[in-house]
Amino acid sequence: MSESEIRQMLVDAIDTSTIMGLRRSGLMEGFLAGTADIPFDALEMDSMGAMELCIAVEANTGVEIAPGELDELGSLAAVIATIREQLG
Amino acid sequence: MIEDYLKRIGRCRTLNELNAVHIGACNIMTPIEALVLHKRLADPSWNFPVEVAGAEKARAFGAALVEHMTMMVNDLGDAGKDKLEPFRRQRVANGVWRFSAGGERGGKTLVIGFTGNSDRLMMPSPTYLQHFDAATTDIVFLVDRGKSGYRRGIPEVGESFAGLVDALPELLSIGEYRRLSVTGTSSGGLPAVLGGLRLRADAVMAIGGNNPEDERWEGLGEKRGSELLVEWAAESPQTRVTLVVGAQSPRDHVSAAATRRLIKADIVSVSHPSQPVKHNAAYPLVTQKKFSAFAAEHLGLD
Repeated sequence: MSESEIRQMLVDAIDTSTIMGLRRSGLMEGFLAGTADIPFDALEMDSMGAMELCIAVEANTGVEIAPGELDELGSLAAVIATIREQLG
Repeated sequence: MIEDYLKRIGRCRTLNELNAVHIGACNIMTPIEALVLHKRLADPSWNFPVEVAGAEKARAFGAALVEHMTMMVNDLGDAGKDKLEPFRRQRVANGVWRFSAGGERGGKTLVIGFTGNSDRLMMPSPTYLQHFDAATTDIVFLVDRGKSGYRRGIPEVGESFAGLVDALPELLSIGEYRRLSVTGTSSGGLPAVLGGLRLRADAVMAIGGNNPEDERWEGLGEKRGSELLVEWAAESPQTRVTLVVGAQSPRDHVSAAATRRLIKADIVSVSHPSQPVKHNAAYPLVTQKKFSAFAAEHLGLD
């Protein structure tokens, strides 16, 4: 899975979840283009959203990230780095 | 349902798999099922199956489930009732669930709920249902598994937004009920307003709904969502529309204001004395023991 495919997967997962801040953040296009990161603060993500994001990441990549780990990761770029590291 | 749930959680290897199964169950469970499941999980004789998850994870998963179900059962108590509402679940169609205690519909209100992207109305179904009177209310949950904000309808029911809404009177026997109210949360909020107006409901309550000027609502058939909103509101002047927003959710305030520029609607801001109320403006009403009265007021229930 390429980095751009991972970025698209994350956008699709968030856009169909309860996480409301993606489009509102104004960062989605830059994130898809690989020129911008999106901090979780900008996503307005609650605990349900965190679970949905982690479920989608695992379902689409096989990489297990627990919802409790997201705070430490802090942004979608860190999620991408974790996925790429795990996928080797 | 509970036996199936217990089988399915036993096949989970990871926390995310477990969360997916548990969230799905908590989106359609009744209050009575929640209590029964809590008792099963909390019984000392029950242990999370170790075969797939392994002993260490099984212990953690079991504890997490008991913790969550205990919280949910406590939330049932926030409805302030001394008995559980005896709703039973009926699958009406793919993505359409009716919760009813049975009995004559002629004296009842039908509440149609457009769930958001989490397939729920901002809280687990047992919590939501417990805040309504099963003797006088039937509740329908619509679920958009395609996550298109219902713009592509619900497969097998209606393949477009208008097709979906226009199929509901026959599918749900709306005419048999005394009153019709429509609600929706988050991505189901704007569909609830549009649908409620189209169905000429008595009342609509949308919580954290989207902005009708959003580009995703530009093409609803041959018209924009905002144009349909105006058109359908003109055809249903008696429908009372309430737009509910979290006090600390400025973007939801913007969306509600954009809707109110197009149609007659009241905006109600929800606050909490000790925590910010953001996009989910419904659950903070539960924890303040206000959701029953709030929903009754804005859905026009007895």
